[in-house]
Amino acid sequence: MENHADTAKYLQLYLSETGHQVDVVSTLTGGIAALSGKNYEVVISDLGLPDGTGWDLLKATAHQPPLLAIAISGYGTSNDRKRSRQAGFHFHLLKPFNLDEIDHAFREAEAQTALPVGT
Amino acid sequence: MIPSHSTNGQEDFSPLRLISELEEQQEWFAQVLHRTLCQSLSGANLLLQLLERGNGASTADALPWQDLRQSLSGSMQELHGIMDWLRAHPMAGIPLPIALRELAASRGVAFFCDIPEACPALQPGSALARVIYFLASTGTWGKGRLQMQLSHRNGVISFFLKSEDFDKTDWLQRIELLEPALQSRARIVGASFTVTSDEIRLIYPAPRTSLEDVPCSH
Repeated sequence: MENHADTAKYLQLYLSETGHQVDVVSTLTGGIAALSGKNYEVVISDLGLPDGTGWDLLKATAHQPPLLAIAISGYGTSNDRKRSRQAGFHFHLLKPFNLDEIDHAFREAEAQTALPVGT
Repeated sequence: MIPSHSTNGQEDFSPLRLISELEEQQEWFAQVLHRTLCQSLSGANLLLQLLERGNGASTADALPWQDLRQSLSGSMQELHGIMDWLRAHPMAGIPLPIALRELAASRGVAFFCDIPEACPALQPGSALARVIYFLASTGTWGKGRLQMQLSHRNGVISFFLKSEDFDKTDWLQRIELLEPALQSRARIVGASFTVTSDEIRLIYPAPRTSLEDVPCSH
């Protein structure tokens, strides 16, 4: 879930080329609709969206949490990270983030679940 | 909507009020940077990493370096826009009506004014004059047709910028970003500031109860 077109495009390209199936939405409303209609193993969400926050997304879908939830944001204070943890995100990546950090998050999730995640 | 601490023409320079305004503007500026430069540089950073890793070649023939150049160019434009908004926009020691006339001429904006140049409230040393000039200089940045008016009726000074065939989406997005800074300045001088879909308006002194009570200004 990312409302910045270039970031969404390039992240989708990277994840697709590394073997993942990716859907992109740009609003909280779209994110909630997507998560209610399909089980996603991984959610990567920007925190600042036109109609809400990434924190709102996980709260709205708390009954069916993904295996891996990654928040991406330009805000990275300890309070922001704490709110992400409380909302259910496993990782909080500060923009601009490295793709290595995305890879690391996937590896951590796979190690914990002993399953390939998001493929 | 009228700010709850609007002071009906009484300038509020209490330390707490000013510190609160500074803190609000600091938060506003962080949001501006987050919504503009941070986002666009994040996109450019991702693209650069894709290029380094050799991703994208099979998916988009033209992907890469040209996209990166465009992305960085877009970031620079955003940076210039932010710098333009943040510049002091000095009135250069001349009365507001003259300063606005010169500004309007330089930006191709229609300007109407029925206030004498000697009006004490609009001299360069006046906080109100500087707030109005800041509003005018930031609100007229960009392309398109705008109408600017400064008038005085029944003790009420009103200033408005009205969009004509302006690219309203672009204009409104910019005004939306600027609104906290403009509201903050209006509060300090005891004016009210409102934004609608095609107009921004500052009224001084702020009306006592509602905008409907303000005498017609034109």
